[in-house]
Amino acid sequence: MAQLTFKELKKVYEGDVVAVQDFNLKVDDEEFIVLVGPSGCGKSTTLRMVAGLEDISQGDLYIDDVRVNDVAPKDRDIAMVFQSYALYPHMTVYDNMAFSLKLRKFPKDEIDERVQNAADILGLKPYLDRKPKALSGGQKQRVALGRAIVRDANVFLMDEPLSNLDAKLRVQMRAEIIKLHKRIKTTTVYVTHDQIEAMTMADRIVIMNDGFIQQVGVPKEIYDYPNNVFVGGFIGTPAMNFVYGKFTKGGDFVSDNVKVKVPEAKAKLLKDKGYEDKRIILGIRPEDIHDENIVLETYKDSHVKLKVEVSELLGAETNVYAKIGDKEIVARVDARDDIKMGQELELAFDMNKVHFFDIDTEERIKNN
Amino acid sequence: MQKLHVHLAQSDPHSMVRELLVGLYPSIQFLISEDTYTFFSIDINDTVELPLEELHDLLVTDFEMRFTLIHHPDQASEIAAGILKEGILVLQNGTLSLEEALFELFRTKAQLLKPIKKRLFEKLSQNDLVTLKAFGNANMKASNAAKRLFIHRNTMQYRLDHILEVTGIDVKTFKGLFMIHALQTL
Repeated sequence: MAQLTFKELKKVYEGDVVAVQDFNLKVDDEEFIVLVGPSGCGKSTTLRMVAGLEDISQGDLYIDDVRVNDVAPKDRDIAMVFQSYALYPHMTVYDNMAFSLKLRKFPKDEIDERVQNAADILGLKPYLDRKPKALSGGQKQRVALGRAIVRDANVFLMDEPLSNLDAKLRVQMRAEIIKLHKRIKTTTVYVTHDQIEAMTMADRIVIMNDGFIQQVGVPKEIYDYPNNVFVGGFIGTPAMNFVYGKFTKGGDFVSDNVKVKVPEAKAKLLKDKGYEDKRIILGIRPEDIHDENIVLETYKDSHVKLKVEVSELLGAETNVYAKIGDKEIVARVDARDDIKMGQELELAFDMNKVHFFDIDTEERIKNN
Repeated sequence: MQKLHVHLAQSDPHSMVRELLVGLYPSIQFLISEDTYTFFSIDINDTVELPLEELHDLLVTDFEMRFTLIHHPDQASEIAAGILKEGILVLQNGTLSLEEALFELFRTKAQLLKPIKKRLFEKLSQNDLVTLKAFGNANMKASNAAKRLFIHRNTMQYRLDHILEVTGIDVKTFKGLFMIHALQTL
């Protein structure tokens, strides 16, 4: 078990391409931390620096209290799982799992014990004599995990391990990896571009963009209190809506065809921070835009009239797409209300749930 | 046949990597093996079951060291060896085709490419250079390029194949043609 500490980590490639910078993070013992962000945001590079596959250009990386910048990968006691869930085709499942231990000259009986134990955890016992060819995608993925488990390493690094699986299997494996982590409790750094994986699996999420950490927090905190427009837009499907407008002296938010009352506490905050009569960004999640009468009555001051451009019935709910000015906006409403394209619709913003962002920095406006 | 240059970041019981590769790829033939460097040829059909990218992942997880793999057609050995020799410190850990390895070097340490460029262009005749230029100007449309040069399009194809044969770089691919042009600018 181990703790990971990143101090001002920076990665610059030859040619002055900065992949990661100002990376500060402490991963607790037994924690399952997920690095998430769009491709090219530096998450895999960070993981590879932990693994020792990339040099660290600046800053320090500690595993427990040992600075490992210059420690060879094999001396870091780390096990990796890659996206390709590669297995040796000419070896049985057993031999695939045993291989790295054989390389490390473990005694035979200890190898056997570890492999049997891992196979037991992963439900692979009946397949130990099979070759990878005779396994399904999910089983192969479990063997790949097994290859990491037998190492009994201090830290697990997983680089998009599920992205080669089909959607159904991915959901299933997601749950299995969480269960596995609950059981073996190894500190894990998991990299994905899939925000759903991040939300469902992580103890804490690290959201990255352009080589910088945007926010670190537990999933709910990140969802409910995004630090900035990027985080708000990245986490959640459909994404958070952003409306550009002005905060008036009268305490309203005004934009094109929208005028909504800002609740007192939020209005005070905006005033205190000097946003009166200034342009700001309003962020609201699709599920916080309502069409039910009861909500419309409660929030009389925050109605918007919109013309439905597209309505997507998803089963339990309907995504309604409309436009405010030239910006698209999505509302997620109850599917029982039959909403047609072209229809005029009156909706209410749940103003207690909205966030305001600075138009220049795109940071959320909040109490210090 | 494809050839594969493998560079290990540190010297290690090479025989173990070797033993593993023999098991994996029956057609494998070891050509040179030094401290941190192995060069072998392999039938590309052999890699269907275990593609080179996956081989790389496996080697990294099991041997826990950096590997740079450069794979290329038979005739480009000299260029690939040159790239590894010159550029090993700047090449990223991973599996690269010859063109990708050239591009990595071009992007990061272009000056290292000069000797490689020299060797490569020595192999091309004036005719080849004219062909390349016309092919690029015609946006990789061989028949248009042939018209411009007043030659038959089969002759054009033959010449492009000939360039692949002498350099190992397939200029009919975007990456290949791009790299040849990029090298010309050095």
